[in-house]
Amino acid sequence: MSQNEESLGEHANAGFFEKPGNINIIIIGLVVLCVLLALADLFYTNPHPHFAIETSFAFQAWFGFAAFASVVFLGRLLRVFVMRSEDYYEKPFDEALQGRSSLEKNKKNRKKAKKGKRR
Amino acid sequence: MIHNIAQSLPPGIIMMAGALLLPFIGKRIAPPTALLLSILSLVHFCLIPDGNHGQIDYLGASLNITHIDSISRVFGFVFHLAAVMASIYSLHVGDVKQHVAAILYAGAAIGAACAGDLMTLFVYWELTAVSSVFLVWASGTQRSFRSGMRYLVIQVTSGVLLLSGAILRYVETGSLEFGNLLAEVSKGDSAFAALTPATWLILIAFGIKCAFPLLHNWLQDAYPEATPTGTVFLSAFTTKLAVYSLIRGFAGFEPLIAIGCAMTLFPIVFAVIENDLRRVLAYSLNNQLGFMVVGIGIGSDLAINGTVAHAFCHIIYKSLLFMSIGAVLHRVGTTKATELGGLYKSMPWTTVFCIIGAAAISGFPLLSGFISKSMIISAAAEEHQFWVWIILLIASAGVMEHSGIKIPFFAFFSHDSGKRVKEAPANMLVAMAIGAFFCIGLGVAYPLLYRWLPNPAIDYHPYTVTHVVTQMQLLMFAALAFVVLMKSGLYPDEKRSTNLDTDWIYRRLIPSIVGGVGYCVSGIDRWVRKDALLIIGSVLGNAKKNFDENGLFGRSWSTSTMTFWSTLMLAVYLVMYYLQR
Repeated sequence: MSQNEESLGEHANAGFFEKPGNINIIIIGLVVLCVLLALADLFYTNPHPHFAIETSFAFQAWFGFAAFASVVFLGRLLRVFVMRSEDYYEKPFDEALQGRSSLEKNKKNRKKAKKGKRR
Repeated sequence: MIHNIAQSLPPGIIMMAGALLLPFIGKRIAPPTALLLSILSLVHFCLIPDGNHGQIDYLGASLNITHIDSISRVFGFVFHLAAVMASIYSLHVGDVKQHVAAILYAGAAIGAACAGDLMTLFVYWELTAVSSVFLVWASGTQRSFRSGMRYLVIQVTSGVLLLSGAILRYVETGSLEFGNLLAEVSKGDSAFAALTPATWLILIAFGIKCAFPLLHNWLQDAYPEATPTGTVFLSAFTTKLAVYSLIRGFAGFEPLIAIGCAMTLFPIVFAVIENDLRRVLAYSLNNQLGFMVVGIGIGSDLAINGTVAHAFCHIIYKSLLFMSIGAVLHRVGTTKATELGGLYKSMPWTTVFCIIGAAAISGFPLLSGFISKSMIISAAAEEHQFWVWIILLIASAGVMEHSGIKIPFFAFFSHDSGKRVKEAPANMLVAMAIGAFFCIGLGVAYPLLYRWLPNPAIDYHPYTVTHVVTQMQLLMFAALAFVVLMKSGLYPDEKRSTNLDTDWIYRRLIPSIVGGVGYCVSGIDRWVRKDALLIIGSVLGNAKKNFDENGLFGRSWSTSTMTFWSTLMLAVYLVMYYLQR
């Protein structure tokens, strides 16, 4: 967590969740909890399993881990195909059709809208 | 006496009529009045007994304005609850038109959830579309204006399809009653045989509003563009109204299982890479709708109970999540993950409420998501639908990813953005506290909700050892996967970007095709005109050459020449005459 270390340097009064020691404690706690949950499978049996796979050891544990990781990797893959610049939809229309004036108007409107909200 | 008066008024009418008076009472009094209207409407709704009220005959068709049964009771109640919460949340907003739109919208949704016939449903259906678009436009940006226009076109299209379907249905059956719309299917026929042309149209209309795959993108397009308070209203009504309509009209329609499965899966992948946290929540909403659509498709008593319970819990925790991120938007001015982080120091209460909402949607035990989502997953298992069950488990891990971890982590923790803002306004905190209270309350006192469900005979116990342990395994190992991926640098960084979705088709592809066709047409037109002008030019040139004063046909002839030729012709004529004789 290099970003956390950086912010520690920037802000002398780093919050609880930015101190590396605390982060490590949280992670160790999570790992311990995961181990305990997996071991819990040894102490009970599923009375009504619907599918054979449910009876394998700590099925939902490894399945949860694998599903989460797959979703994240699929997301990374999806980025290759669908990621565009942030102003992909605005740029051609705003600049080509209406010129820069509309962008300025846009900013003014945003300011107005913010004022409205605060009121 | 009170009951009689209550019966004679349709549910939601207090909000709809009251909303129209809000512009006349000033911007200081309008927000509390909006809240008062929501509370009065809730009281009114509780006073109306179950059954049919307000039957009228119109143009030969009998309409049934109000029909309240166990399904509409639950939806009507939770819609009111959402309206009350969102009204408290927007008490600080001075823009009266937002209050008018929001209360009108909520009232129309409540009316629709209690509509007894398709025509009444259509009227409310369109009213929700037309009123809610003002919540998008209220942001006042070009972006939100365009987004709102797209939203309006799509929503109105859904209404037009519903109207066409209703009229066809009347032609087919002679009735406009809004009950189960599926026709009887003999064994061996495909499930689609249960659909007539009318029900196809109605299903597509519901599908648009329910954000079925490929019809979904209006949701992710418009919701994040609305005002912070507007999105909270939007998240509660439109899509859940569609879920309600699907339960009533299409329960047990098997293709909905496949549609629902697709809906649970694809949004979670988009949510991983989305930078705007309100858009992440919109994808998350889409994914949650998938669970409900699967439940409707399964159609068993347990599945329908699960769907109704899930819609109830979902409206509350999704409102809570949108409220917490809306509070961030209100204070910081952005919801982009790249610009947020470390806000737990400035907004501790908002952080706590957001975490409660995130844990509820993920399905942690003792919170509302656990007691509702599990019913749908169990229903899939009971029907021995292995792949559906597996997909719903993957989707559950996905929910943990985008809503359980990503939303709170990137908004409130992650790297410190250095932004120091004030805690959310008191009214926002109160609204979030109510949402959090219900998330925990429903998770603990779940029998109170179960008793209300359409099939009360179903005996379902969410808190079994197996269920609690397996669910915790799924969630905690998913969290472990997050830690591992973050530590190893494999988790994708947040990037300022636009991710293409199906809206690309109508925002880029179709305009460029139309542009291309226009270019070709203008090219052909230019070419044709150029050649035509050449031809016309040469004709004119020839004419000019032959008919001007020196041309063959245009020049003047002398009298002697004329006389000569006339005499010659007469001579020839004379000769011919004699030869003939």
